Amino acid sequence: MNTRKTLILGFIVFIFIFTISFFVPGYFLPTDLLKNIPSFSTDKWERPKNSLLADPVFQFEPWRHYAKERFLEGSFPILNDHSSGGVPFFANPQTSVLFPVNIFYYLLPLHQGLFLIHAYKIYLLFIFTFLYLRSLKCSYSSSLIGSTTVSFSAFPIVWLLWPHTNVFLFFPFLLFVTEKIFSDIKFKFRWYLLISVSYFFAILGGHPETLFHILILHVVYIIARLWKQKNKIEYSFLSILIGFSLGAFQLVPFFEYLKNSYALRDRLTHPGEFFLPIKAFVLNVIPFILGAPHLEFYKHIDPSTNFQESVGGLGGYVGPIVLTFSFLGIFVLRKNFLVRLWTGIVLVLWAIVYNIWPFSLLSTLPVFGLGANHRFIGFSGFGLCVVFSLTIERLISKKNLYPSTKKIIKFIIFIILLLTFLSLSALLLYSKSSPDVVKNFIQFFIQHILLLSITTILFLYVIYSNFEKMYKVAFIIILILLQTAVLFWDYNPFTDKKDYYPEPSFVSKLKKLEQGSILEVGNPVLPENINLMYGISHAENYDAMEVEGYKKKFDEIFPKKNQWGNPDDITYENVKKLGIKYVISDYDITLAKQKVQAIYKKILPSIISSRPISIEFAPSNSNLRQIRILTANFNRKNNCTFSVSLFDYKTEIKKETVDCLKIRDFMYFTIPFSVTLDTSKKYTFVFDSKNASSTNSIALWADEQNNPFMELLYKQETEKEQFLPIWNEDNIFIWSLPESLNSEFLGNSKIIYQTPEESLFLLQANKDTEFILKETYFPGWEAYIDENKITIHNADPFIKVSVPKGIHTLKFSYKPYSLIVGIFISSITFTAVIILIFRKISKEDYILMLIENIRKKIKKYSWQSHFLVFATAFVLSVLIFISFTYYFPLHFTVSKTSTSINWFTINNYPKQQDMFFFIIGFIFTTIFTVLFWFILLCKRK
Amino acid sequence: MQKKIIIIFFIFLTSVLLGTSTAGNIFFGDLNPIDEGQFAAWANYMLLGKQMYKDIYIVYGPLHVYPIYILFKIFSPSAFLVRFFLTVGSAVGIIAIYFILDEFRFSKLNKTIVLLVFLLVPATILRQGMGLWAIYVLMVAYSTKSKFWNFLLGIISVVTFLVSSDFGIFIFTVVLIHYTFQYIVSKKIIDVFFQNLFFLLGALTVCVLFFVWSYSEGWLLDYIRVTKDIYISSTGSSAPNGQNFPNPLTILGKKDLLSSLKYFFSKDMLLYESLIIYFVSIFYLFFTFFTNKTHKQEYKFFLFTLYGILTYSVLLTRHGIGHFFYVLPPIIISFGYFLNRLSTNFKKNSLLSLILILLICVYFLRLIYLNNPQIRQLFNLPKYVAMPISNPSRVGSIYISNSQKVKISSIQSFVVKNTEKQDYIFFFDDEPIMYMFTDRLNPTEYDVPFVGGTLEKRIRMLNGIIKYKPKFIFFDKDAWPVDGIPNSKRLPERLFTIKIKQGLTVLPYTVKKLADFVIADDFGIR
Repeated sequence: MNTRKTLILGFIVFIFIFTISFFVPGYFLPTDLLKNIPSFSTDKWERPKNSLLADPVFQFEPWRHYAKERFLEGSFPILNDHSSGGVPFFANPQTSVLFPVNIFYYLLPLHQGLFLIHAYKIYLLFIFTFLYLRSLKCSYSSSLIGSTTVSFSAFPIVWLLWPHTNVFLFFPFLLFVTEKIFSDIKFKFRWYLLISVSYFFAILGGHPETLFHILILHVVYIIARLWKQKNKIEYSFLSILIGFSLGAFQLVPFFEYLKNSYALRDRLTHPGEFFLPIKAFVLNVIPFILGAPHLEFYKHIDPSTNFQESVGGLGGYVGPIVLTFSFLGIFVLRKNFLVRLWTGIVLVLWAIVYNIWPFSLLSTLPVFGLGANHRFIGFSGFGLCVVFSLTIERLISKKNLYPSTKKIIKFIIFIILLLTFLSLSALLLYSKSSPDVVKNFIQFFIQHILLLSITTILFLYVIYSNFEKMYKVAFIIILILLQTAVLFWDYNPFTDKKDYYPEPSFVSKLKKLEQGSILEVGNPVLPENINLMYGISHAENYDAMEVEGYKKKFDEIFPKKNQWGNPDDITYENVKKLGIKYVISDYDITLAKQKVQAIYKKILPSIISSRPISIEFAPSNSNLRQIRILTANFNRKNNCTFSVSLFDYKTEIKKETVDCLKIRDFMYFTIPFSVTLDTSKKYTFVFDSKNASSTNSIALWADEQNNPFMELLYKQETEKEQFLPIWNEDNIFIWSLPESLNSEFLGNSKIIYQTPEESLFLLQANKDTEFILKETYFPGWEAYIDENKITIHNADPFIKVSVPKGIHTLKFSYKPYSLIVGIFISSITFTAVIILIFRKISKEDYILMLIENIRKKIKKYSWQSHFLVFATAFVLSVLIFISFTYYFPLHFTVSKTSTSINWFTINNYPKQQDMFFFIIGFIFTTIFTVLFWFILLCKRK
Repeated sequence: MQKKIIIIFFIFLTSVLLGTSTAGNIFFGDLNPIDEGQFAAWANYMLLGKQMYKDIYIVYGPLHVYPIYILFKIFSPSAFLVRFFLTVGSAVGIIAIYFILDEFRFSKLNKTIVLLVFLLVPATILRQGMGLWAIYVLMVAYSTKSKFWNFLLGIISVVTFLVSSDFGIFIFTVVLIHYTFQYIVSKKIIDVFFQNLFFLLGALTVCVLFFVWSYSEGWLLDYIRVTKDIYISSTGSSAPNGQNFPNPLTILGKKDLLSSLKYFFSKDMLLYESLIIYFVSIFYLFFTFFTNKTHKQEYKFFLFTLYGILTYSVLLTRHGIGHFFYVLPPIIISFGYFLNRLSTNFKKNSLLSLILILLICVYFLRLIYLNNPQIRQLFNLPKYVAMPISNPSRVGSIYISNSQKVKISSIQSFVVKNTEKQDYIFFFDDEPIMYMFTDRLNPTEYDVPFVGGTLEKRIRMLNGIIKYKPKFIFFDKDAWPVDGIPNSKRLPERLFTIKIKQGLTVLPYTVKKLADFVIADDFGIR
C-alpha cells in the first residue's frame, strides 16, 4: 500500500472513531467510583467497575472540567482558586490544559469529548508505532501486527486515562523521525523540526516523569543509531532543545511550582522509593495471577504496589505470544543491530525497574532518585514489541530463517503444554480442599491460563500454517488481541450518564450557601478536586505537588490525619485560622469525643451470628449520643443487618440495628445512640448479626489485639465558640463558622469583584493597618493600593499587605513571572522556527513550481478580469459574514473585572464584541476572497 | 535638491498657514478645552513643579508634552503655543507624507492631488506624523539596506513610542514583521542580522538616553505604570472613552429603502468604505506576489498597508467621524497609490480604470466636503491675520469667539479674586485648559476626569481631593460630555453627589466650596 492510500485509510479510521463517538454508551470515565464515597451513594451502593482508576475521576476530569469552564468564561485558567486557598493550575502539567486532543472535550458534548480524547490517543499511538516499524523496513503486515501489539498492550491501556499516555504516544514517533534522520543521506530539515514539535506536544501532554523517561531513551537511541554521523546527533540534540524551548511557557511555570511544592520536599526526603518488587515480574507472563481490579477477583501482589502500577507499570505485559517471540527474536536475529539495541534497553529497564544491582544505584542520582522509575517498564514493553515485530517479519516471510527455529518452536510448544498441564493439575488438586472463594478464584484462574496457553499454541500453529498471508496476519492480530485487548476489556469502563458526578443533596445545600471553603472531617465526603465539579472551594488540594507553605501550615494545624488524609479531630480556632467557612463531617463535631480504641491495623472476621464482637469501656461522660466505628464491606453488596447492643454487665440497655448496605469499605460509620451512662461503671458494646453469612456480612477494623475501633461521642455543656449546624442527613453533617472570612481587616472592606487570578477590594481604614487575604502566598501574586504596587508579605500561609489610613482600592493580581518568562522564550523560539520553516519551504522545488504554474495562469487574463473576480468574491464574503452574524449573533458579557463607568458599562455593551466581529470579519473576508480567486484560477485550464 | 527644499518649505508653510492639524488654525478658531487643553495643563503643571506621570496622568508619550513645556518656559504659557506646536507637528507629518509619496514614485500630478487633500483635510497629527516618518525611514532602510538607515529606524521607532505609545507599538509591529520577513526571504541571513543589530543599537541609544533622563527626574517607573495602564484600559471594557463601532447590521433594521440608501452614504458607512482600501491593497499584494511583480515597491506598499491596518484599529475604541481623521493618512496615501498606478498605466479603452479613478476622486472630494466648514473659514484668513486681538491672558494671538473670551476671563477673574497662588482648584468636567488659564494646580492627577473612569482611578481622584483640599470645585453645565456620558454619571462616588449647601455661579459654572462636602462615614462601602 502506498503512502497516499495509507493516509486515506488513516483518515477514514479517524472519521470512523469520530462517528463512533456519537453512539458511545455513556461516559468513558469510571465515575461509578464515586459510589465508594458514602456521601455519593446514600441511597444505593454498587461495586465500581474498576476501583483503581481513582485519579482520572478525582483529578483529571475535575481539572478538565475546570479548564473548560474557564475557557467558556473567556479566561485562561492560570490559577485554581477553589483548592487550598488557591493553587497554580496551568503550572501543574498534569492538567494538560493545552494538550491538543483535549480540544474535543472543550468543544464537543461531554460523552463524545471523553471518548475521543482517549480513543484518539490509542489511534495516534497506533499510527506512530506503525510509522516507526515501517521505518525499520518492516512490511506492512508486520508493522500492522506490531502497532496493534503496542497499542493494546498493558501500559497504554491501564494508563489510558492518565496523562502518562499523552506523552508516551510520542515516543514511537520520535523513534520514527530518528530512523528517518538515520536513513536520509541528505540533511532534511523537516525531520529535525518534527523532533522539536513532538517534544513540544509531549510537554503539553502533561506528565514530566514520562517526558523524562522518553528523553533519556530517545537520547540513548539517537546516540546508538547515529553514532557514526556526529553532526546528525548534534542537530537532533539541538532539535530537542528547541522542542523544550517551544514548551517553555508550560515548563517554566511548572519548575517554579515544583520548586515551591510540598511534593518535591517530600520526595527529597524519601528518594529512590519507586521500584517494583521482583515478584511482580510474574505479571509479565500471567497478568491475572491474583485477579484484576476490573474483574471479580483482585488482590495486589505486594503492599508496596497495585495492579495499576505493576501490570501497567510492567507495561511489560504484552502477552505471552509477544514475550515468547521477542525472546525467540533475540536468539534468531541476534546479529541485527536494532534487536541487540532493544534487547539491551529492555534488559536494562527491567534491571532498573526491579531494582537490581548495579542499576539500582541509578536511584541515587539526582533526578532518578525522585522519579517513578518503575514506569520505565512501559518502555520495555514497547521494546519487546519492536523485537517481536522484527521477528514476525522474518517468520511471516520465512526469509533467512535460522535453520533450527522450527525445532525451537516445537520445543516451545512442548514446554507450554507441559507447563499448562502441570499448573492446571496442581491448581485442580489444590482447589479440592479449598474454601468456596478460593475454588471460584482457581476456576477463574484456570480459564485465564487456558486462554493464554491456547492462544499462544494457536499462534505457533498459524505461523507455520499455509494460510494466505492476509489471513495469517488477521489470525495473528486476533490472537494477540485475545491476550491483550480482550483481557483488559472494560478495564477502562463506560459508566452511566447518571453516575457522572451526580449532585447529592448535601452538595445542593452547599451550593446555595455563601461562598466559602469546606473542610472534610472524618470520611471523605466531597474529596478535594471533586469540589471543582460543583464550583465549591475546598481547604485541601490533591495535585501531586501542592504549595509547600499551605500544606505545611495545614499539617501543622491538623497534624493527625486519618486513613483518607482528612483530619479527624478539629477545634473551632484551628479551622478558623485557615479561613475555612464550612466543615463537613461524618459525626457531630460539637460532641465530646472519647476514643475507646483508636487503632486500625486489621479487619476482624466478619460479623455473623456465631461470632459476635464485643468491646468493653468505661464512659468518660454520662450523655452518650453517638458511637463511631470503622467498617469493611469486602467491596461487595451486603444485604444483611447488624445490631449494636449496649450491655451493663449482662443487661442490655439499648440496641440499634443497622442496614449492612450503608456500610462502606474503610469508612467510618456513626450510629446515633442516645443513652445516659454511669461514669463509675463499665459497659460493653456487642456487634452481632442474625442474618449474615460468610459472603453477606460486614466487618470492623481493629487493633492487633482484635479490639474494634470505637469512638464515643458525648453531649457537652460549653459556652465556647461553636460550629453552627446547617444540615444533617445520613451521617453527613454540614457546619458553618460564621466568623470565618476570606479576608482579615480592621476597617470597612467590600469586595468589588473576585476572579481566580484577580480580586479588588474597596477599603476604609481608620488607621494604618494590615489586610490578610486568605489566598495562598505564592510567587506571582502582586498587590496594588490605588494602582500603586506594594510589597506583599507571607502571612503563613496567606497573603498580607499593609494598608495606610484612608479610603483605598486594593487589588490582588496573580501574574506569575515564570509564565511571562516561559511565554517569552516560547515566542522567540516559535518565531525562529517559523522563519526557518518558511526559509526552507520557499526553497522547495514543488513550491517554486506551484508558484510558477499559478503565475502562468494569472498572465493569461487581464488585471481587469482578476479585479472583477476579487470584487465578486469580496461582496460575496461580506454578505456571507453579515448573514452569519445576523442569524448567529454572539453575545459577550461585560467583564466583571471592569469597574469603569463609561459608555460600554452604562450601555452594558462589551467592547470585545466589536473587536471580535471586526477582526474575524476582516480575516474571514480576506481569506474567503483570496481563496475564491485562487481556486477559480486553479480550476481554469 | 534645492528645488526639493523649496517644495518642502512651501508645503510646510502652507500647511501651517492653512492649519492642517485637527487642532485648528494658528490664527483663528475656538480653543478645544480637552484636546489642546490637556497639553496646556500638563505643561503648566510642569512649570509649577509637578512631574510628568508621577503627579500627572498623561495618556501620551513624554516627547509629546515636554516640547510644549520648553515652549512655555521660553515664551511663557499660552494656548497659542500649544496650537502652534500641534500645527507644526502636523505640518512635519505632511512633510513625511511628501517623502513617502516620493518613495512610492508618485507622478507629479498625483503627488499634488494627494498633498492637496492633506492640506484641505485635517488628517495629520503629531502622533500620526511620527508614525509616518518611521514608516518612511523603514522604507528607505529596506531599499538601501544601509546600517545607518537601520540605526535611524531604531531611533525613530523609539522616538515614535515616546511621542505616542500606541503608534509606537504599531511601528514596532511593522518593523518586527519586516525583519521576520527579511529573515525568511533574504539570501544572506547575516546581512539581515546586522541590519537588525543596528536597528537595536539605534533603539537602545534612545532608550538609554530616555532612561537616564526619566530616572534622574524620578518618573521612569511612573511612566511605565501609566503606559501599561493605558494599554490595559484601552483594549478592554475599561476604556475611558469610546462607543461601539458602528454595526453594519443596523442597515437591516432600516424600515424603508430610502433610509437604507441614506445609511450607505452616512458617516458611519464611511468608516467601512474607507476600510475597502485595505482589502484592495491585500488583494493587490496577493496578485502581485504571483505575477512576479513583487519588487521593492510592492514590498514597501505591503509594509505601509500593514501600518495602515494597525492604525485603523484605533477606531475600534472610538465612534463617529472625530477620530476617523486620525487614521486617514494611510488610507489617503493608499488610495493615492492606486490612483497613481491606474493613471500612469491608463489605457484609453480601460473603462474600469476610469471608473476606479473616478471613485477615488469622489472619495477624496467627499473627505474635503466633510471639512467644508473649516475650508470656508479659510477665506477669512487674511481678515483674522490683520485683525487686532484682545484676548484674556494666556490665550495668545488666536482669534476666538466672544463667548469663549467671556468664559475664560470670568473664570480667571474669579480665581484670581478668591484664591491664592498655592491654592488648588478642581474642574469637575473635562476642561483642563482652565488650569492653564487660571494658573492653578489640580489636586488630582486627572485633568480630564473622565479618563479616571475605573474605581481605582476614581478613588485616587478622591484621595487627591481629600489630601489637597481644593478651594473650589467647578461644575460646567455647558461642558461637552465625552461620548454622551457626563462626569456626574462617570464619577458617582458619594463625594460628588452630596447636596450643595452653598452654590456660587460663574457663568456656566456652578462653584462649590470644598467645605460644603461631607464624606460619608461608610463611603458607600457597607
